[in-house]
Amino acid sequence: MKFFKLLRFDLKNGLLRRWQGYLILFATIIFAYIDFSIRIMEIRAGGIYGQGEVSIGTFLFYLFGGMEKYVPSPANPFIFPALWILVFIQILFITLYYPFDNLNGIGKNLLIASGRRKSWWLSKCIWNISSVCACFIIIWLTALVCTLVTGGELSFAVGPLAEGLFPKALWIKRPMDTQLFFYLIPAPLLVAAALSLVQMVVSLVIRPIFSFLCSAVLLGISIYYVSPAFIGNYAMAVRADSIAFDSVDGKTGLGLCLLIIGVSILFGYLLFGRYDILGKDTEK
Amino acid sequence: MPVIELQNVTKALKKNDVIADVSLSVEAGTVVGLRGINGSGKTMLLRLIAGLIRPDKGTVQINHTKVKSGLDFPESIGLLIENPAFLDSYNGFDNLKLLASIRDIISDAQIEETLSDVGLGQAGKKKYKKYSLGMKQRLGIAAAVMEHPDLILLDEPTNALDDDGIDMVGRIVRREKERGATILVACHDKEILTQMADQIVYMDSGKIVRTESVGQVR
Repeated sequence: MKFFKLLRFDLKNGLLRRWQGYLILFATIIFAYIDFSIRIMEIRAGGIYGQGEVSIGTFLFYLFGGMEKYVPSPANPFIFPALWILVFIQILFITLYYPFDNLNGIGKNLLIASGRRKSWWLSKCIWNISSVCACFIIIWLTALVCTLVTGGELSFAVGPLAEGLFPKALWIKRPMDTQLFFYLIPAPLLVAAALSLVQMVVSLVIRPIFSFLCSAVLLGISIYYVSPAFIGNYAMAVRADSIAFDSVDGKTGLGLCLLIIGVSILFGYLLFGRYDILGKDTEK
Repeated sequence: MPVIELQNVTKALKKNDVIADVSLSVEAGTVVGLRGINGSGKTMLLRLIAGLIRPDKGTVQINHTKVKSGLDFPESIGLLIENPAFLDSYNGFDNLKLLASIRDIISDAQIEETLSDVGLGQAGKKKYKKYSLGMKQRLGIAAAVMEHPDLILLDEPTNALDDDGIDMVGRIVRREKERGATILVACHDKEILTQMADQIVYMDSGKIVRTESVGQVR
């Protein structure tokens, strides 16, 4: 019972009452859709990539496309996928401070009242995953509304426009609906949840801001290297296997994300059991 | 019968012993004052007893159960440690109600009564962010005692309080002691401690340097 009361508190105060972060994310997605619409107009005006219809899938492909494999050369400048990283950075920032603030505020009393460290940790894990899910629900709903308003199709078909959005990708074949669903819907969510949980565990050891920087660096490395070891790769639809060469395997990504989520929860659980709860002003 | 028993407890932070080989036994129903300069280890000792930090060496037992292996936190504990922190957007009453909702052992009327006891009867409806430092401290004291716990740990409870507030702390400590609670109060003010405590433990550099009963101090 005490656990559910703690969880209720976390969902109310760590999620609902922290609506400002979600509002900024919503604004980012609106901005991204405007940017996407301009890009589509440019692609259509160019006339190279055909006149396929815009769908919610096309927009999500643009948002979670990431970057084609980077091959360093003077003729190939490194163009940072700013939108992709901005979305993930925002999600990771939204989930950054609440556990820390909670432990240094009223949460300390709630933790003692609950009587169990494991209750606090598990409640924070559920809150963390719920927050990431809330971010993606905002992204999906905003994408849905924008697509409907602009007369787009409600499908995950990205068609020839995808090639125009990522002209440097080495396509094996034209992206199909079913192949992309995983990379557009569950994959980014799983990657964000895994990173967010790792970030929360690391925040037990180093200051949250440094933990956040570690997450950002990991995303940056994922952009630079196409490697199954860097989970950011699985959140880039343009690196989806069977669509493009230089890709990563979706099944491996799914397994890796679930493994990271499980290990983070377990490791954090063990770590928090012996964690010293000091005040904000007390250096560790 | 001792409620709190620390045996050769050592705790290091950043390779410095903040608590060094401390042994302490506190009998049920007594008020023990902890006195020492800043950084002497008073707050760390309270944190160890509360289960917020774990000893590197030695054992902390509350009611004969080892903190760490047997229980995460003492079952019936009220705590005021460092600056009290509550939710800014809630009023005083709602903050206390939120805390009380976890154990769910006291009524709204008892929360209101506690608010009144600490001098926040009317201010209970005021948003926490509008509280003065003294009012925040009073609310922290209310949170520590509202459920009438068996063990109460108060770290510098008179911080930011006026004379009336200091009297209020003394009154509450006496009342809780009469009820049977075991109370530890960390304070650097000798006069305040002698008014509240049965025994004063002096700390320096993480060690207990001497213990005096209040009769001796006076």
